[in-house]
Amino acid sequence: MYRSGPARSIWRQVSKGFKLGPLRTRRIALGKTLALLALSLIALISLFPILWLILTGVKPTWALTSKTPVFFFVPTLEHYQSILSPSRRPVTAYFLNSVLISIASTAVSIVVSVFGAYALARLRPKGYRQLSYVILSMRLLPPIALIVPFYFIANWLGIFDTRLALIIAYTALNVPLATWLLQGFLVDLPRELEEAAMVDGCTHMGAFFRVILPLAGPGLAAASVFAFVLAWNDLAIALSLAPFEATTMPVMASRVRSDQGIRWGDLGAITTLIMAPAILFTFLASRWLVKGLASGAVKG
Amino acid sequence: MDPSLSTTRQTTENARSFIPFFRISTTDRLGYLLLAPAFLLFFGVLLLPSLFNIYTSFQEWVLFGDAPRFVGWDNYLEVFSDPRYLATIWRTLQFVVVTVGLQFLIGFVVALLLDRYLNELRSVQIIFLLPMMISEVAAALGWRLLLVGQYSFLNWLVGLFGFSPQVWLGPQLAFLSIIFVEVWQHTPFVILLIFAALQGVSKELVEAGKLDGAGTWATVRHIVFPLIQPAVLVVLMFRTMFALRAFGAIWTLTHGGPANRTTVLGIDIYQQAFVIFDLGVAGVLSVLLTVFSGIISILYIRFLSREALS
Repeated sequence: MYRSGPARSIWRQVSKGFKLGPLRTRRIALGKTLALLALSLIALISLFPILWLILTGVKPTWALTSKTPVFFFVPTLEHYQSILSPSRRPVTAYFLNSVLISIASTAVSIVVSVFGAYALARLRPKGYRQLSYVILSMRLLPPIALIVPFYFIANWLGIFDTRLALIIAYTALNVPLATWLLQGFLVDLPRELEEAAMVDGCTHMGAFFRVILPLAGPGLAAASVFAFVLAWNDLAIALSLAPFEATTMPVMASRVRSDQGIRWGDLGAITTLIMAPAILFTFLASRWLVKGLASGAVKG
Repeated sequence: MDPSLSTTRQTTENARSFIPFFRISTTDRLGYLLLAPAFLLFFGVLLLPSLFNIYTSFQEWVLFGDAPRFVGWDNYLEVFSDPRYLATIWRTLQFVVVTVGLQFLIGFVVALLLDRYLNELRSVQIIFLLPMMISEVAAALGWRLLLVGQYSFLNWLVGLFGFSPQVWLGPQLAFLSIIFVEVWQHTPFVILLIFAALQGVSKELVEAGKLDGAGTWATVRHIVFPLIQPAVLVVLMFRTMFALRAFGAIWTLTHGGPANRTTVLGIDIYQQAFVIFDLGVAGVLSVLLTVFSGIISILYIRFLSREALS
């Protein structure tokens, strides 16, 4: 902050005669004001599309068809009534698909991952480091490159366009990240607790269930949120593996062509439903999520 | 293991030592058992399909058409000679370099400012977490709402500054628009990770630098940057890998159009497979994407194992 050279001497010339307190304090105040302005602008750009979508879902029709943006209006729930009404089967059906598929794949992948993570973090069987790199490399496979094989395998197994197909795919895609995250959390837990439990007669698995699992709460929460959100948000896999009956909310929303006379009010409401769980989880678990992001990406 | 098992183990030790699995220590054995479900999933659901791509890439195979026929390297030759596919690859590289570059520049500056001025305000993190947590489809629809149409919000906004309305997803601007949306959604990842790394930089060191007369730029360049370099590398590799596989937002915004102007590798794989039904070419493009991604993964893993050693 405290610069030297010509800029400073010029500033000293300019500020000569102003009795506004010490030079340094004023310059820091100016820098801080500019920085906060820039940060506010970036925060506004980050939030605005999300807020605008949510607002669009509760805007009355006159506000949607206005030629200039409308910021003040009496909110209405008509779009929600319209998309959730019994006559419109699809939206509720897709919503149910999304909920069931996301919950099931999250639950299975967390169970599989927490055992694997415990093995990597504590039991450390021979070659565990190599195994953990294999897990990491699985995470780095691009799912979009797997859609053609997935399509054929699902057809071959007779599960094309079923929820089961998506549950299996998302579970497998989620296990690497969840294992990696949980391993990071478990390594940080004090080893003494577990050793004490084992001295008291617990087996490895007993110590795991009684001591480790209760302490791994935040890690489990972060891993579950990431797993749920991946399944809930995905477009590519659902679009190719379950395009019709078993399809999810994002696929349905991506098919609504807004420029073909579809009312933006309904689409705003649908998109709000898609964003709702992610927004909710972010508020509930932001601290663990940031920690999870950092450990999932950085920690070796 | 269960305490009662230890006596059983002694009695059956001789018989068991013939089977390699039982010659490993109990802890190791339990470890492998616990890891087995994860590795079964990887093998069946991730690894086999990846190998299937290699098989597909050597076949002439039309979806809903005749049985696949082996054609050797024909599909690869086609991809590397047809301007359409070369354009896709070139466009993907442009997309990746520009989005990752912008994400990093903006993210790094924002993280520095946050670290300096809003260090104690953790709730700011929520604002930056939101775009990256919502679905790419939702993000794309949000921007569609703001971009599309003569009376769209953005056209109103540029109108305030005296510009005429633009067709933001039209032939001229579509590629820039998808880059913008990608940068919008994923810069927060850079912000959060670099911010987390900056929190670990000792304030004394920075103060010491300043006492020695280093300016802001010199402090960042010579003191802060070397300290957070591992995080920077990880962020760059992750963003590169994820930009390579971009699909959801672009598909929702433009379907790869107009006239393929926003067709990147991910979009082209889907189009070849499920729109044009040319599975052979889809296979080649999938292999290419996996290889590009794999090169970066290998760099990343080598980097991690070096870090773990030091």
